[in-house]
Amino acid sequence: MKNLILTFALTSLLSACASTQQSQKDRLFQELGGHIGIDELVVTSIQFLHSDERIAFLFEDIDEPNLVTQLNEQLCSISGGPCQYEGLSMLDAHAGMDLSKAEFDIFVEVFIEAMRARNIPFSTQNELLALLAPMRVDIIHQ
Amino acid sequence: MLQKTQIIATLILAIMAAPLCAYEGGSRLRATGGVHQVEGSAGGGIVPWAVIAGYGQKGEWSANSFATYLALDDYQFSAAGFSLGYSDRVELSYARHQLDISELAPVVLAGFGVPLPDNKVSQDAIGVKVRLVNNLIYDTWPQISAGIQYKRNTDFDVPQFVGAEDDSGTDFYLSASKLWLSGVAGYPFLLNATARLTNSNQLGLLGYGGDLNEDKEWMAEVSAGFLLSRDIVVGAEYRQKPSNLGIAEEEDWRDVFVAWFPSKNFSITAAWADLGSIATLDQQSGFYISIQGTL
Repeated sequence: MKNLILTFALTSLLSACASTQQSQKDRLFQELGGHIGIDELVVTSIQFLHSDERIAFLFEDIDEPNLVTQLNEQLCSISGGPCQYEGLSMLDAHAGMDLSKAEFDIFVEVFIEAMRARNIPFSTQNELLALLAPMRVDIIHQ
Repeated sequence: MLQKTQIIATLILAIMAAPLCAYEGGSRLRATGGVHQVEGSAGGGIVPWAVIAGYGQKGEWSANSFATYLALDDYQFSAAGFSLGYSDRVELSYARHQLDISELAPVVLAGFGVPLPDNKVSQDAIGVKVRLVNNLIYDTWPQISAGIQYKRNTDFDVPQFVGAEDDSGTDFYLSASKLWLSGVAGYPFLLNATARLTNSNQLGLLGYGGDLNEDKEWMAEVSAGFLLSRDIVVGAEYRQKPSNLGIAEEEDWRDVFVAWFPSKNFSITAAWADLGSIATLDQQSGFYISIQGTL
């Protein structure tokens, strides 16, 4: 009986730990508004990209439903949400596009505008940007 | 007089740029060109940073103009100038300095029994900066740039009077700047460290080298700041100074600042600067204001 109680206590303790870890892990995902918030952000971003004359041409002939799916999966996964990004690597996805540093910077600027439009808090915006920043090296000049 | 012309030119540039909105000074993100430090290089208020002036990315130009005014306890300092940035690689700059020293005259007369030769000192500063490696935001390691500031004092009577060796000098510097996007609690954090080889006395307003020391020495300069939003940066700076003049001890400079970038075409910086002792008058501090226009 004593052993059973001890086991129960330990198990509860461990599962409590696990659940805290879980909520830590997906904190950014939750701050972005979960699946719904991220989907709204993706849709707004694409809208803004289409209406920015400096960069719109890059998104003219794109398979949009696919882009929406990929971005949703990627943002969900990178922010600690319950998703696995199974699309192309950033290197393969941008191969042959020869994107310039300027185009990359404009994309980031438009993405920030989209986050503001979706009322994502400043600190959440920056945490997401910090996770996306290392991808630059695989995106430009490919 | 030139200062007023420059201030007006800066305002016109900023005002012109706003409605035109044809060109925002390049593709880089807002505030990533910093402002113009006193010698005209892109940076903070007193320290040059590794960033290239304006927002030009590869293949893009950016033209900038600035005007700065600092009211100290016993002096007024003004600086104005312009800079060109190209391709996020090269920066050329020019600045004109003027220090009003009329309140020093009675002190000198009382202390030395001779009249001060002039009631102002002025100088020109020409700068070149080259980004050597990395991007401020996206790379793991800091952006690093090397620069030169050639300065020539155009009212050498006073500097000579206090013991300066030369009326002109060239500073060399190496700057490393890095912006951590998620920074502290989600507020982006900027850190800059600059090493400068110099023998300038008070920027060169009191000439170059002196009776205590003629040679150039390495000086450390640091800036740190937080982005409170996409358009507001707050921070502090420190600039180590040589002390080459026997009768006019020079102390390290420091400031705290807030800069507002309402658009890519305009910024305004307010600061509190503590410049220590200047030409025998101790504890010189005061309010600093600087405006900048970018196309």
